[in-house]
Amino acid sequence: MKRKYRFLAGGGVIVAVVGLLLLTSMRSSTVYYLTVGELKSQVPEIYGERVRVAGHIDRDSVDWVLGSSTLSFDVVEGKETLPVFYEGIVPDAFAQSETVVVEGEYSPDGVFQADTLVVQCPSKYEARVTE
Amino acid sequence: MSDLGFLALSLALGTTTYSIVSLALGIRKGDEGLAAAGKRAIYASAVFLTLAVVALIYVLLARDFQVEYVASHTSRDLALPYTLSALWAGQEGSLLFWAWLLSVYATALVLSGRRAGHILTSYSSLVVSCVLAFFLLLVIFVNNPFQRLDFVPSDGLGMNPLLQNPAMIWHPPIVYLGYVGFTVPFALTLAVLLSGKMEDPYVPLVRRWTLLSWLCLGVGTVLGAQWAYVELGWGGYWGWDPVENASLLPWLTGTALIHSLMMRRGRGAIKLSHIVLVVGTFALCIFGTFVTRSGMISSVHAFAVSRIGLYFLAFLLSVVVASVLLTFTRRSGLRGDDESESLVSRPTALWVTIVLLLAATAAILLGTLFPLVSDTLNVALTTDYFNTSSALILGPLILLMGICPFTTWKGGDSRGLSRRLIAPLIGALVTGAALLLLGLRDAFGVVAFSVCAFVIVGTLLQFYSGFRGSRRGSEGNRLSGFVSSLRKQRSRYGGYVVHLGIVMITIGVVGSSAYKIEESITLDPSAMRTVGGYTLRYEEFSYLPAVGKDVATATLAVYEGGEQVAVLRPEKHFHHSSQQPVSEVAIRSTLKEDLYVALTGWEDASQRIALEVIVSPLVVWIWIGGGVLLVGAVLAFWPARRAEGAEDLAVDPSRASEGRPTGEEGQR
Repeated sequence: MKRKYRFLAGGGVIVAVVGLLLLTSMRSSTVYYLTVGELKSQVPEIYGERVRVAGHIDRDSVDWVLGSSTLSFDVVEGKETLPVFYEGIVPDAFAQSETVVVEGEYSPDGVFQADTLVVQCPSKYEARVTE
Repeated sequence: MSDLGFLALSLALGTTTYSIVSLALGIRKGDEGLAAAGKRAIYASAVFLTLAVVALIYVLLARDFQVEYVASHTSRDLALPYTLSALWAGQEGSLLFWAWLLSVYATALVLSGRRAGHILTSYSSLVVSCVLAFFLLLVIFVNNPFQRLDFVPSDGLGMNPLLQNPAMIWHPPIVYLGYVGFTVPFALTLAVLLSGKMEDPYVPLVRRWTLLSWLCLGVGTVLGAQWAYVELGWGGYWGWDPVENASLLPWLTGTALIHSLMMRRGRGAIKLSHIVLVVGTFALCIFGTFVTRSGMISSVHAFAVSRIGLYFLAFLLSVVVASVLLTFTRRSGLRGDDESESLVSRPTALWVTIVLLLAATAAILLGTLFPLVSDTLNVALTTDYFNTSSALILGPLILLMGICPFTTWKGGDSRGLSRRLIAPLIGALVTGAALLLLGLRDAFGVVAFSVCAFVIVGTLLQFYSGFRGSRRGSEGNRLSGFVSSLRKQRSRYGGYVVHLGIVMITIGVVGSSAYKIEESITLDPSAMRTVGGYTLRYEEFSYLPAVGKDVATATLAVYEGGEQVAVLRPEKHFHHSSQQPVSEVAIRSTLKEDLYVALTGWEDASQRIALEVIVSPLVVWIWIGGGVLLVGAVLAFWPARRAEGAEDLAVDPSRASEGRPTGEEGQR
């Protein structure tokens, strides 16, 4: 009986700790995760909130400004286009990636100010051999 | 040659099927001969799989681009080491490599059990053969590495330049050694449950296999972190990516397993905690492969889920369901965990260790799986979640690491314990005060480093008391007496060395995450700029063709305190075979801190350059800690000398003294 009790107590501690952590982190470390269309439909409440947005990179729009180390490009999803301004290290894989996930804030001037930029892990890119 | 490879694979599936059938029948009918034939068939599977691997290496080296795998992962200008590493660069090759490793492990399992002639060997061989059959089916029918194209490409697509780094040669096979290795403890555990030999010594049976796999997983993970640090150019080494978590999770449960194997009252018979941890660790290894291979979790929107993920999911479910059912039918034979009269005792400390490790596992697992519901909830977790939860759970665990070795198995001696903890406590207080005097003001850093000092002093005290205690035992000088007692209690002192390695990794992680300085700067030719105590002077820029690529290089002179300490040359490579540029960062590494410089861009006309400069304190201690962890684990794993270890599988000699600081059980 004592053994069972001990296992139950241990399991209870695990569940309690993890549950508590998940609850507290729900408040502090979550961000909205939206598509471009969803983001635009939630204006103006979404201004100033931290948001993560995923979509395709419009290759023709990519521009990197040396002096300020800023990258600008458009994220496209369906018919919606979102201009993004990113300051920080551009991952090497960005040059080849089709999709991108950015995190930051949407501002009333229609530009998404991102401080985090994630592209897919390179091992997932396996091009097909063609003749 | 590729046909020969496929033939070898088919034959391996044949022999594996044969070993499953004849082992099952042999066990059922009690026919020793039939079971022995089944075990011999495992050797044959290993031979055929070795042939298949050799065949794949051959077509890779011969650059036989008609084989799709070769065309997809190599090219004519790929250097020899990377051509060889293409063996595990892609999914098909990885699966073949996995199956081959498993067959090697299976052979070792049969060989190590041969002298014992135990029924457990038959059962565990049966389980391993079933796992092997699963992988062979995948390799043959779903992801055949020998698949031919109906045309011959003139050149291959080449390897992703990011994977062309020395760490990528060692990191994947070592992680695989760990992943695959956990199959053996799993098989032995199921063997005990299947055979019903619940009273037999279980701990010595699985201990070394567990240590080996755990060691490989840990070292492989550190190597992977180092690859990310050197190659990805963002100055970090850990991003809580699902692929990284996939190797951390089974390592955490593996650590819990090792600690539960230390609780061995009842002659080391199997306990429920062992079963839960072994099955959990093995399931997490499979889960890791599922995560890395299915693309299901890290996928954002448009990535197709590859078919193989579903097979892994099905396999994962059957592993868990079978284990649960089997455990349920044998529940009456299970022994309880160590009952201790006292709350302050070694068993309690170990139990808390296990609970904390499992809590960390659960928190990280939930975070890893969270993206599955992100789309529906329109909410995503940031890395803050992982950082906070792991600091909150693993922090107390590290503190416990400094207390646990001072507890006794019987417990109850709270006053003695607090007296023994005075020295570590002084160490912690002195460190904390010194850091405050040096100007550190944030609570997290001061507390974290003080805890580390506490553990270091406590662990070193264990060695010191071993050194003092050995004087009585030996005729010769103290040192030789100490060395011989180190030898006799290999696993105990090995464990302490591992603890020291973990503290070093912690110091590196705390230093580099809490005190990192990061600046994006632009420099005109011969301009200077100071970042975090280092002055960089931009000397020159070059853009030159090299073999298969163009290389842009910035040369920077680095000054510290008015003196030139280094010349750094961050580069950016443009491979002809790939549009993706690759940063080759320049790092000046000292025990105190790393100066990390990446070239992020330049203007041709003005030769003005853009740099990312990062000063990352103490980061080198992560790699040193990884090395110390390796040394400690090898020390614990290393078999005792032949004369002592005659009983080998039946009774592991090192276990006589393991974990008993006072040597209650006597010395051999």
